[in-house]
Amino acid sequence: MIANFFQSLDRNGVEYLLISGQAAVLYGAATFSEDIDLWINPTEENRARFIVALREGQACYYKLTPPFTVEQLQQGHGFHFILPGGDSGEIFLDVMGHPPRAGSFAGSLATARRMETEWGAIRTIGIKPLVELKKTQRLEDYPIISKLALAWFDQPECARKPADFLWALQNIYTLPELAVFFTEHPAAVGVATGQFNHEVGEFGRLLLADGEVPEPVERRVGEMFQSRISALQLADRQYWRHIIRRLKELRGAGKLMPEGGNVSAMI
Amino acid sequence: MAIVAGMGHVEAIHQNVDAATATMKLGEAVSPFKAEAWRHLPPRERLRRSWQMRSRLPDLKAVHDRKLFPKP
Repeated sequence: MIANFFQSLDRNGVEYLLISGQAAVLYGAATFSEDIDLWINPTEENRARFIVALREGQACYYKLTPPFTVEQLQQGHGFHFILPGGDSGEIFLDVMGHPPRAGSFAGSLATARRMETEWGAIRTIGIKPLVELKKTQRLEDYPIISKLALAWFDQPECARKPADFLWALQNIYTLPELAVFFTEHPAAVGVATGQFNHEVGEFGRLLLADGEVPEPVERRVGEMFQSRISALQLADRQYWRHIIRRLKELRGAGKLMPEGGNVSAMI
Repeated sequence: MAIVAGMGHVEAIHQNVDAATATMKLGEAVSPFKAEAWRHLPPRERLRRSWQMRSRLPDLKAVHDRKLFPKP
């Protein structure tokens, strides 16, 4: 059933990217996601093509979904659908036209990868924009981001240069992943010390020299991670504030799509 | 908790990933970096195992709603 839906996206020429949880699974940074998140190019033509695919997939609206217009897509709303999934049960399909922090669709399309899966060849967002997308209010996203930073070095486009090490250091938020990073990339210790953060550099130096890091050093690096995560969580809350306000206005005006309503009947 | 490098462990897993994944149980395979081999599975296999795990959840809707529509 899911494979049919992705085939329908391709057959109808939908410009889409697989994002969020399933993309993180494909990159090996997460083990599980219960839904499918797509970023579609928020143009009128692409919206029309995507509606055809939704109809072919017998999609229904799910909760808190605004009218599926280009305007609402460009305003950053999430659109929630359910696809009948056969043996897989109901498939939760969440769609955005302008996800947070990831820039333009065209920019992310340029760095996307086609991943061969049982659902077919799936166009998947690149690791760097995926990392930006995952900087949410959910604490559990930060170990995933950290693992994505490690996974960057498994990608063919990664040159393993100081700029790659610096990007990874800027996107690791957990001590176990930092330890794996320095173990796998000893050259990154110099980058950490010289260009990123002296404490993090010291963590790497001690880890590689002694095989372990004294607790006070660990604690200071851990506190720095917590502080950076808190700042990102706050920024994400601020990002969503006006979108949620707008969604409440739509709900107040009775303009949200009815939960369970068939997409074919409504558009 | 002290962080230990364990370089030998990582190298051994790199060398034996095929053998490791061939014999591992689902529970191990879906726990990233506990069983380091998850990272070395091909994307196709990761997605397959992830979807297998999904099918074991008794209430997918609750899991989905908790993530997407958190209570303030």
